[in-house]
Amino acid sequence: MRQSHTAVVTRNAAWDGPFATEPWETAWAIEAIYFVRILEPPPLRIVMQYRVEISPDGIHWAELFQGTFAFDEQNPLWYRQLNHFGGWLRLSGKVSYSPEMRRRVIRGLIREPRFMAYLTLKS
Amino acid sequence: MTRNLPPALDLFDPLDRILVHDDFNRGMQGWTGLVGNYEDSLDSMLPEYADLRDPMLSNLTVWDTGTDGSLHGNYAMKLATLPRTGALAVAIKRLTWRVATRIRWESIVTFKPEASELKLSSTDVRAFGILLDLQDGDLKAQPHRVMPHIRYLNADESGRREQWQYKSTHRTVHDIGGRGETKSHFHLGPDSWTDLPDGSQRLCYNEIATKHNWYYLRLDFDLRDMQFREFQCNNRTYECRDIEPIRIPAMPNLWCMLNLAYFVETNSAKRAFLYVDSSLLSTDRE
Repeated sequence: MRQSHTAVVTRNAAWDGPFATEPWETAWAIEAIYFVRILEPPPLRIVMQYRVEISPDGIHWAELFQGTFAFDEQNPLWYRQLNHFGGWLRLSGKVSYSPEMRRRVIRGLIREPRFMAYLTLKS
Repeated sequence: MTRNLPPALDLFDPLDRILVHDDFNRGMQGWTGLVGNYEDSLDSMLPEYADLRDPMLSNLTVWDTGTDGSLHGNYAMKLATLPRTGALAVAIKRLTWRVATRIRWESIVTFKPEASELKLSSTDVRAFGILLDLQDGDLKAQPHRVMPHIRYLNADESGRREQWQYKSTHRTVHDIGGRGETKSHFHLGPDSWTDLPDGSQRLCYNEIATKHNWYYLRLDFDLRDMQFREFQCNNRTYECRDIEPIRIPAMPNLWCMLNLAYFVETNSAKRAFLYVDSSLLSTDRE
């Protein structure tokens, strides 16, 4: 039977601006999916520009892919499928609010968005 | 008695009944992360639990010599903290017991800081340790939840310590949420650790941050009186009958609980790693 494992690489993170998940060792796996879910999605869109990064040692990182997730109430969950990534993976990038979104967060009308990120691996 | 066992088992000294032998070449085998209790929102958990990091499978790859592998193959379980002084990582496995008897938990482990600097770095890991989270059976008069903790304090802000410690007292148990159904207390803080008698022990750090030497650990505990018996690390055995584990009134839904956990804590703004090659839990045959 093939091995599989879902890692919660970020739990309830208040990402606003640059972020990077902790390094995750993936040498045993040949396929992976990063899932990112926004908890309590706000009515206004939040854009995440992301990079999937690989590493020979968990210390030095190179970009494998980049892309954009756009979160809103209809699209609270996004994913990126991966293969041929070697021994380490991490997800980094930047979360951007619109000016209106930031105004509402500062006024306490909307809760600061929180994120869950999962790395689902299969041998 | 001579036993004809494969090497991965023969390095242990189990009691009569082997309950669990986790060799991480076979995957995570029920070991997972620890999250604080919560109700309605993750924000309701005690803040000390919010950033505990979960365990992963590692082949012990380092930047200068590549892959070390584990003791009997490629993979070990790895606990990795955040790169923040005092950050913790925890791995836990959850069982229940069926007969209150003596239990023996043996492990092959090693610890290192992240090799992000070309320095000795031997005081960058603050501590690693093991704990049991136990509760008496539901028929016992005056039942308790009992939490034996033992850690190796490698270093602290004052420098090298190399001291085994245990914990007998605990922080306040808090109500979580508003329904009166959930409680939580943080038991891995830096407070309340006591030196184990004669518990100073120097280990094989081995010169640089990328060399991994494996250690043997053994904890004997008795579920009949919920007391420590013995603890062993490599060449040193510590008599533990006179030390007290954390003991609190039984909780309403933890009967016969038998949880095992490893933890590691960093002493600098650098990730600390604890690797577990394998773990074996055995009991007396009733």
